[in-house]
Amino acid sequence: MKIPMHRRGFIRIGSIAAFGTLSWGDVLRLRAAAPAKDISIIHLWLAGGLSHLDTFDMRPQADRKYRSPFRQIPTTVDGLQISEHLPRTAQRMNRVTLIRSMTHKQSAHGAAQTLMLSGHDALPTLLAPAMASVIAKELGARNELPPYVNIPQPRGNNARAGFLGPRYNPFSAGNVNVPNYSVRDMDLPLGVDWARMEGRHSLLHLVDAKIRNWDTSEAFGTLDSYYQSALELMKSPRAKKAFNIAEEPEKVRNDYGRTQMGQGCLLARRLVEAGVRFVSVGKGDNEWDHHANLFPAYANEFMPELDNAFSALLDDLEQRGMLDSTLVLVTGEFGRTAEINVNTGRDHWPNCFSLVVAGAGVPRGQVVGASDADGMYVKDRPVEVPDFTATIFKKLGIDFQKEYVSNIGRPLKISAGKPLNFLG
Amino acid sequence: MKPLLLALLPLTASAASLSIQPPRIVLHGPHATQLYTVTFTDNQGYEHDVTTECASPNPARATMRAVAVSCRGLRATAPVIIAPAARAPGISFVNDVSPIFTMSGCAGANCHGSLRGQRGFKLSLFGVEPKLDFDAVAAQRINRQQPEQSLLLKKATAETGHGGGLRFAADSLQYRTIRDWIAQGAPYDQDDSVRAVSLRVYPEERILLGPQQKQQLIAVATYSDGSVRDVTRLVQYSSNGPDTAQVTANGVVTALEAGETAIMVRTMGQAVAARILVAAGPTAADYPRLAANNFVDEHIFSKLRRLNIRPSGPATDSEFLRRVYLDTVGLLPTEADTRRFLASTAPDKRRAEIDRLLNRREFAELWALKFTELFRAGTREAGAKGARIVYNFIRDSFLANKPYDRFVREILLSQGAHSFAASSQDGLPNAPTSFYNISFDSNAPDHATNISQLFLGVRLECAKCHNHPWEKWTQDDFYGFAAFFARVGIKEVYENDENATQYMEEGAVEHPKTRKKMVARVLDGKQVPDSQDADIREELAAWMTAPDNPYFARTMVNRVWKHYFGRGFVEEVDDFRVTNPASHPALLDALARDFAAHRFDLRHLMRTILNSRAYQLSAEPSPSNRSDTINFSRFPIRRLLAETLLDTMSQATGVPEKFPGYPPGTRAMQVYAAGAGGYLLSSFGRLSRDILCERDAQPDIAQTMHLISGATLQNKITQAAFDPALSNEQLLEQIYLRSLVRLPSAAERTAVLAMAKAGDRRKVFEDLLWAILNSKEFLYQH
Repeated sequence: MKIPMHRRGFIRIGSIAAFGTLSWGDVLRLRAAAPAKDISIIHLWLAGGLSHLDTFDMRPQADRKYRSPFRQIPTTVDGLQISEHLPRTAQRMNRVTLIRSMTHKQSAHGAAQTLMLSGHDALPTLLAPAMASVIAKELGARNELPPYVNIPQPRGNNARAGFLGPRYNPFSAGNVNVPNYSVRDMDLPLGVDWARMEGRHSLLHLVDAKIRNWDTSEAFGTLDSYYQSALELMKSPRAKKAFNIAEEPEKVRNDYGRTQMGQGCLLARRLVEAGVRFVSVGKGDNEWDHHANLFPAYANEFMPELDNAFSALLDDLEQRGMLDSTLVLVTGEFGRTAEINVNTGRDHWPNCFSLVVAGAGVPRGQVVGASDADGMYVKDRPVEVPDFTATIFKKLGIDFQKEYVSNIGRPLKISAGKPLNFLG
Repeated sequence: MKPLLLALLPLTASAASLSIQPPRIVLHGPHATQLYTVTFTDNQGYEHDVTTECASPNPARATMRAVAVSCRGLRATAPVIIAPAARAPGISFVNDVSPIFTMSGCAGANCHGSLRGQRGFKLSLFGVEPKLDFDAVAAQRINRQQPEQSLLLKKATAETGHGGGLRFAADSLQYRTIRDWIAQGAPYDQDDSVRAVSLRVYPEERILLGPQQKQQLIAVATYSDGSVRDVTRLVQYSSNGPDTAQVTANGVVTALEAGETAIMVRTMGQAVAARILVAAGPTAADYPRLAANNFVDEHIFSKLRRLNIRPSGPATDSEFLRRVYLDTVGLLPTEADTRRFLASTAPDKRRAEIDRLLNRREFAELWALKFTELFRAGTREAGAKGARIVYNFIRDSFLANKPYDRFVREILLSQGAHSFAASSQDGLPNAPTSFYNISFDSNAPDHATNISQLFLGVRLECAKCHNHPWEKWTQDDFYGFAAFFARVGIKEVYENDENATQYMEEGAVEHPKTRKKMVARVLDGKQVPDSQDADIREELAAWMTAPDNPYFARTMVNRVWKHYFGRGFVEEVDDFRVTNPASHPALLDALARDFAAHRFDLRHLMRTILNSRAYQLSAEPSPSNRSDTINFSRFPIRRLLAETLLDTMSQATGVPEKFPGYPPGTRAMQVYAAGAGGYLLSSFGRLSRDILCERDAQPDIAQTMHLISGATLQNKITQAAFDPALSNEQLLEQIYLRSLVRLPSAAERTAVLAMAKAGDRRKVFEDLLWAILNSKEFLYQH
């Protein structure tokens, strides 16, 4: 007996696509509502919490117990100074908007990250989806690449899709800053070609016959759709090319910096070019949480890494004509205390912190808001996180007032905020 | 709780009856009234709301001595007790006006009750702070001269533009109450200390037979001065499952489709729930008689019978064997085990197999890993060594079948160096003292959060920052509980890099608002003053592990049930609260009582569950139970634990996994360190233990890619030894028995043997292994 070869089944195993592919009707509806530009987002995610007082909002005159040992340097915006350890960024401040008056009330990493990544306050039972997952759901995949990629990988639940379901979870690209980087499990194993894999799949279909109809929770259908998406991704020349960072000239790779964030940003640019909607680039596990020995860590590692990665990314996007359609976001979940603690670190501080945003029509060379004398509280124009996320959704043409029904039955608007008028 | 027990007794034909709810009506003062419902219980035991058919629509009044109803040839009465008027005449802001904001949805989290309010008008969430609400209302939203012109009323009736639209009409009770209060001068209560302290709903549970069946709910509040009052028209009703049943603002529930849901009833900081079950119809005449193996089945089957849901048939021997091995020891049976079990004709072979499995070392290792993860052992300083100490302690406790109360007591009272200290007198290792040193800054509130959630199933954490909107827990409860750990300290010892947990000379927990030093207090109970020379945790442990503690046994029973059935009676397993009712409250209670009565013997508890028919049902759905997800009418399909998956892949291929830093032959279930064990484990849900949470068993794209082309599977497949002495047919059977615990079907046999004959034997069987290890039958528990 010859076993049936499910060629069609091989391509389209499940009825639900794992990346949330849209029907043609959806596409037409979205086109009608979509803004002129199809905007992508690259988020430099400084998980742990960036000290605004040593970077973008310094206080050289502050009391000794508060004062950063770093100097300020002039930037390309008149009257604006930032840290000496961000020299390349200083040269590019005329292309970005700097908000110095971000504020919220969550001082624990988990709750603050949930708020920054989703725009919603953390609740113990409600699993709010990350903004990127909402974008993945509302706008769908542009092609066989996943709409939301996380470099290296999401930490905890707050960068994930929550009650929207795992279909909208990020795809983890792993650490890019390693020799011979490749995405884990993208290539078929040695000795297995696609013909053999297809044969294996026919056998799988045969083995699955027994309990195929036992599932009533759609878990099997979901699993099938992941197989479909995984295979499409693995077969995609476009994806293969996008992840092949080795194609980049040595000079470009060095310009971004041979660091996690540097190579991560370079990969992010390639992925956005290939169709990914949202790329988060970080260093991993709350690396920016400097409760101790902040200054040497910043001066020697963290700030040069950020400075090179961000500057190179801005230049690269601009040069390729992508900056108008790519929003670049630089922020952690909160700032850090004005007072330097006994371990020469700074602790969590959500009451006032800085955020940098560029591209996608965001005004260039703009400084919004101000902190008070010690940089502890907002003095002028407080910016709340839900308003910021509403702004982003609006920019992407997403109806942010739309309500989802959450896992606990409680309705949740995509964003409860009001769009800010100063981000273009 | 009593009515629930009655409701779930097995059905027997009995005489029909009539009853009134509430069964005893108390009226405070001459103007008080009480709505009531009339219930007809038919001779099958189903209850029907016959109020509109049998009674006048008027409430009970103080002029009556009793409510008497005659209907359908039956009679029912409820006494009316007249009590003194409870409070000053006139309308109370706290107890009459403020609840309207909650019931009308004004004080919800997505409206004026949100942190930031709405359009400059902010109310406290669900009305927990009436004085603040009064200030917000009285500031500029009322007009004492012309009450009807008050902004508050004009907005709520949508007479002027209102983002929230119409909340109540100008002729409604709500409108009249607020208007009359304003006409009185809109006073704030002279004594605002009289508050609702509890809320009761009638009925607490009801089965509705089919769509469009209705049930009126009655809500009665008890106040801090001891008075009671009908609040049926003053509470907010909401359905947790609006597809199953809807509820109107007046508390009328309407069934929509078969299922089960809770109707939340909420007012003045209090919340309760009524459980509404919607059956497709009454028990069919030909409903099968189901034999029960033990009391678990009596509860499960009687509820199914009442809901007219037929359970699936029994699992086959091979299905049972695979299932019980995976669940108890995290392994597949060997080929020899399977052949022996399938060949046996002993009538009690399943029971004997269960007993054997519960005595195996791998059983203890499985629970050791589960608890090591729940304890978040081995994060931060403790490292792999700390995790090993905790893992070994738990494993040895399970190996010795240490009573669960003693296990928890030892952990709670632990102190000393975080090392593998000298054994205690009975040869068991000392408790893992690093339990209290989860992170570098673990403090009393952290311990309160962890311990209440882990051992008592109560998520107390919300009450750390604010009084819980859906529960009774307040900041006093939280910090009172935290005070038990005020003197638990971590002493840094630099020798050997080991810290120590110390019970300190002194230490205190302060209330964050009042700055008062808290006296320790158990949940719902007594205060325990600290005394210098005693370890106050002793008192906590005594309260927690008392046989009648309402949380302790039920929480563990729920956890164990979830382990074997994939779903707790209460979900999430650590979120017990009145507004999150259990699917089988009486069974949960019965198992908890039985567990406590057997001196918290975990193996006894597990034997009871595993020997039930419910656990041994087939996972194949029937037309009758296809849409049931919570009544255990068939064995629920679920993903395997990551460690079990990896270990069974090793078993199926005969190629063990290597874990760096662990001796050869180590299984994934024995890898104790946080986040260790490799990519497959972490991508399939093994936790890094940095936060307290349960595992997520949902698949994702990375897992799928790892199954398709990842090294874990590929290495095992290519290294698998295919015995050349076996014929293709023998090899095929061996592979199926080792991996799926069954023989190949005729279709599978024909297809694979044809391929093996025509092609490269090694390649064909490698491909077959790939297909089996990627199959749902292998990846899922069923």
